[in-house]
Amino acid sequence: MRFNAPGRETGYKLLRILAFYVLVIGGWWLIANAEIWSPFLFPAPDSVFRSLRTNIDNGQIPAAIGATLQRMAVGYVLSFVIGMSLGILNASSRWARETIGGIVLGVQSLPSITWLPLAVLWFGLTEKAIIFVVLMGSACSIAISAQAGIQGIPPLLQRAAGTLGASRWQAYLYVVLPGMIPVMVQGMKQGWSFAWRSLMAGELLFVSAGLGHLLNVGRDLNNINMVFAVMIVIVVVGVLVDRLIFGRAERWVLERWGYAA
Amino acid sequence: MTGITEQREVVAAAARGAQAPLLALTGISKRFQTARQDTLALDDVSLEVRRGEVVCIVGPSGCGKSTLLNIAAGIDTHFDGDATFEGDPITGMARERAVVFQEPALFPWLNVRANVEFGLKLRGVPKAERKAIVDRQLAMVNLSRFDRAYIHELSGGMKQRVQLARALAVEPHMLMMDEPFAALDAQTRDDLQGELQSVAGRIGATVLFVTHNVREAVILGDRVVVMSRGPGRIRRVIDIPLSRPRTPDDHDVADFAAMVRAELQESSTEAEPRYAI
Repeated sequence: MRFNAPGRETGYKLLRILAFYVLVIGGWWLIANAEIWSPFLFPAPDSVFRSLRTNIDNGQIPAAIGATLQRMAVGYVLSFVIGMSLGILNASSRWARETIGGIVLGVQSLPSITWLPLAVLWFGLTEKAIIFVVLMGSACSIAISAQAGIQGIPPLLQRAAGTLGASRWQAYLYVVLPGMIPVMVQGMKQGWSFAWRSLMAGELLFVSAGLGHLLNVGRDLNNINMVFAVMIVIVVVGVLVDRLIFGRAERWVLERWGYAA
Repeated sequence: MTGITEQREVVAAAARGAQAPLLALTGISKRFQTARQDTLALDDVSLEVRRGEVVCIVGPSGCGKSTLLNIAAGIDTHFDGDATFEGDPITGMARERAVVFQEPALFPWLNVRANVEFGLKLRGVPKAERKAIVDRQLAMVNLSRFDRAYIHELSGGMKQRVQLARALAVEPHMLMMDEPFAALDAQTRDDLQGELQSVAGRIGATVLFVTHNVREAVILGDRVVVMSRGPGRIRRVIDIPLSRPRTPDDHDVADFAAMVRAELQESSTEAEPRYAI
C-alpha cells in the first residue's frame, strides 16, 4: 500500500523545514556578526556561500566532486563484488564461515583508515592506495549482510520453488538472490557510509583531487570560508546519495515486503 | 445410502481395476535420528492414490502424516521402502506434484500475478500463454482483482488461495496439501473447503491432503486415512461415499466425522505412554 500524503500536507512540511533552515542560518549570521570570534575562525554565512559560488564557478568543487565520486564508484563496485562473493561463500559453506567468516568479522571491526599506512607502502601515493582503503572499509559489511540475507531466507521458499519445478540453480537465482535484498540494502547502505568516511579521511591525508583534498587546500590557504563551503558540499553529496539511492531502495523493499530489514 | 452413491462406488471400483495407482507408497519407514533421540516416524506404511481421487490423512501430531506427504512430494528423499509416481521412483521434487504448504510460502518480492506465474516462467512458457493461464487460475480462486497486490497486503485466506492458484498453474498431475487451512479462522476455512471442492471437482484433480481436522478430512476426502503415532502407522482407511458438495453442517458428514474421531480416540488410548526427555 502506498501512503501518499496529500499535496497540502507536503507543502506544510516543506514550509516547516524551510523555516527551520532560515532560523539556523539567521542565528549563524547573528553570531558571526556579533564578532565574538574573528571572521577568520568563524565566518558569516554570506561569505561562505560566496566562496561556495566562486569555487563552483571556477570548477574546483565540481572537479572535486567528480574525482571523489569516481573513487567511490570504483571502490564500491569492487567491494560489492568481493563482499557479495565472500557473503555467498560464507552462507553456503560452514567451513568457510568458521574460517573466512571470522576474518571478515575481525576486519569489519577495524577502522578502515588504519589500512592507510599499509596501502601507502604497497601502492605508494596513488589512486590504487585510496581505492584499497575504500574497499577495506565497505567490503566486510557487504559480505556480512549478504551472508545474513541469504541465511535469513526461509528454507520453505526454496522448497516451494522446488515443488514448482525449479532446479537447485533456478531456486538460487530466483529465490535466494531476490530474497536477500532487504538485508542486503541495509548492508550496502552501511557499506556506503563506511566507504564514504574512509574516502574522506584518505583524501584529507594524502591524495590529490577530491573533496577531502579540497578541504585541505582550504586549510593550507587559511581560507575558512572555503573549508566551510567544502564541508557543506560533503554533507549535501552524502545526503543526496542516501536519499536518492538508498532511500529509494528502502521504499522499494517496504512496498513489497511490507517492512524494512 | 443413495443410488448416486452406489453408482459412484461402481465407477470407483471399475477405475480401481482399470488403472494403476498414480501414487504408490509401499512399505515406507522413516527414522529421525539425533544424538539424543531415535524416533520411528513412519513404520511400514503403504498407501495408494488413484487418479482423480482426493485422499485425506488425519492423525494426531507426531503421527508422521506430514512426513508421509513430504516423501510423496519428493521433499524428503531419505526413507526406506518404495515410493513411485506414475510408475517411476520418486527421487526429488517435481512440478507434477506441486505442494500447498501450511505456511504461506509465497515470494514477498513478487506480486500475486508474478507468484502464480513463477512455475510457468521457470519452464519458459511464452508470455501470452502465461497470462492466459494466470488469469484463469486467479479467476478460479476469486483473486482476479488482487493480481497486482503484494503478499503482505493479503489476508491469510487470500494467501492460501494464491498458493493454490500457483500450484494449479503448473498443471500438476497431483496436488499435495499439507494442512493448508490449519492457520485460518473457522469462517475462512469453511469458505476455502468449499472452493477447493469445486476447483478440484471441476478439473478432476488428484489430491493428497494432510490435516488434523477430522471434519475437514470428511468434507474433502473420497477416502480418509486414519494414522496413529508412536510409531506412525496407518490404522484404518475409511471410504466417504457422500455426494458433493459437502458442507460442515451435513448430517452424513457429522456421522462419518464421528466414526473417524472414534477411530482416532481408540488409537490414542491404545498407544504406549510417551515420555518427554
